[in-house]
Amino acid sequence: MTLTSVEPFILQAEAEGKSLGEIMIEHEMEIQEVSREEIMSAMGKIWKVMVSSIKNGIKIEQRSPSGMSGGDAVILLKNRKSKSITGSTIIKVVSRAIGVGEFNSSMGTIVASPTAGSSGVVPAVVYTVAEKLKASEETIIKGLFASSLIGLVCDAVASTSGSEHGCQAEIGVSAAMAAAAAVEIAGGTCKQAVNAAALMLKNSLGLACDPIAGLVEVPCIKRNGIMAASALVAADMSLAGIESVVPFDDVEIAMDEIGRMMPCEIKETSEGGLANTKTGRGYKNWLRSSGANQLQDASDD
Amino acid sequence: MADDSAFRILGPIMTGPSSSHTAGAVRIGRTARLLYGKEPKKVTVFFHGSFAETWKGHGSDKAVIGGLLGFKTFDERIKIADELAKKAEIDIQFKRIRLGANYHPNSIKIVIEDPEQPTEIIAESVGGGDIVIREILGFATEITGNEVTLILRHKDFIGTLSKITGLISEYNLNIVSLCSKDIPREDIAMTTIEIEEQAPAELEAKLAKIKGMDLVRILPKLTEGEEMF
Ligand code: SF4
Repeated sequence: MTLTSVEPFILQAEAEGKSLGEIMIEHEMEIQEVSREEIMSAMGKIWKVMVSSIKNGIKIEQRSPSGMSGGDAVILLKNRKSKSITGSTIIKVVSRAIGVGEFNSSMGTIVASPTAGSSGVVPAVVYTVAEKLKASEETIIKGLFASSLIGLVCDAVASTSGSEHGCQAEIGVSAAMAAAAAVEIAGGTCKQAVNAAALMLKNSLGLACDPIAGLVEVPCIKRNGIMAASALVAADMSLAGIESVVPFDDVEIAMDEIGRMMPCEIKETSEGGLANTKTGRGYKNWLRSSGANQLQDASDD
Repeated sequence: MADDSAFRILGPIMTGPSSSHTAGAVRIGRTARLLYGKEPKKVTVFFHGSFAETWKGHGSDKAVIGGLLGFKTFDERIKIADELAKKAEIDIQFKRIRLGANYHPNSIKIVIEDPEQPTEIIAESVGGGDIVIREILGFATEITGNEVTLILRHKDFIGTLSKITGLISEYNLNIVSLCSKDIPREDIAMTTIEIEEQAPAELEAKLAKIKGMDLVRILPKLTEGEEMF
């Protein structure tokens, strides 16, 4: 079965007085035919890897082989944590999301959420909100389950792949998922969680996928950071009672439409956008020739 | 995995940075290792198309080496696979190749050098960590690893196929697909059979006893070890 609408889940949650995370845990128990404990411990495994990717990521000081990324989480924490304009919560969430992105680039082990390129947002947001609100592991796991509905519906209706629908479908979706998780952890209702996701996804529509030289570094890594900050804002707006005029199910249809309209140059092919700037082409040419030059031609034998 | 499972969206656990150029490359290396059946000593890896250009930034070299060492896509040792291979005295060379336009832009050819048991595959990384094995020892194949796959090379005697399928049904295994091709004039055939469940080890031994059989391998599902339950 594919999930093409959030509506039945909202109705069920309201009728039964349950949160989105709770409903999704029950849904998973039903489809996997296993106990609640098994479901919780499986997601616990996912969470453990997410935490370790954050902890490893925020320590990275080395630049990546391409020289385009590495060490930015450290810089942000060192230089702005105490004197930030936005406040330490934002600085922490951004550095954590960037850290996971850098860890991914340096061949670290991460959780695709929904993809490797967008793997920083959900862990960083969940970690930061849970830390701030002193949430239990059980609440954290519920937050992750809440986020999954958003990703599943986007995947079924549109896509969660940059090569099909641009970065709106990767980091856009991950930020929408993270916003829903944040609301869940903060004790919000299912409706508020989905509404936060709608606010977030609306503001990611049209996002191009134009990674320089085809590497998951620029713009991906810093985009994880900035979108993680936005996800917190979307969650706060929703918890305050601000409603998205366009409901989530409509936003995801709009994302699908926009994704189909996007030219293939900005769908992971690295032929347009940032990848096609003077800087982008410079990195690409340098990397290709240095990569190719280090390999002997098979026909030279 | 069920289409509507949370673990489809939060997962898999994998080594970055790229599902196609890293995770896919691990799986291609691992498939070569499983086909060979033991730890290789001398290997040449040929990068075609985009692999030949972007391998460095994606760590595709370490990924293939990790696969050749038998690692799965989430193994934290992939990062240091090159050092581990060196320690184990496995000689792995990387080269660039132009396989031609018939091959997917993300293709890798792996040759395991062993006069007793030469092993050679060409595989494509088709996205999201999915791969397709296009060629084994020069035979065209279309193995995705979505199911458990039996790979059999044998003389094309009359009745061999029915012996093979007979044995499989003895173990109550459900065949999902079967493909058998012979090389004209060489009276040798390659048969690949996808089955739903992991096959018992005895099946491998029994298949190997069929007259004219010279290679039997059972490849597990590509996602083996990634199950959440
Ligand atoms: S820009 Fe493309 S590759 Fe990078 S995170 Fe976004 S969708 Fe993924």
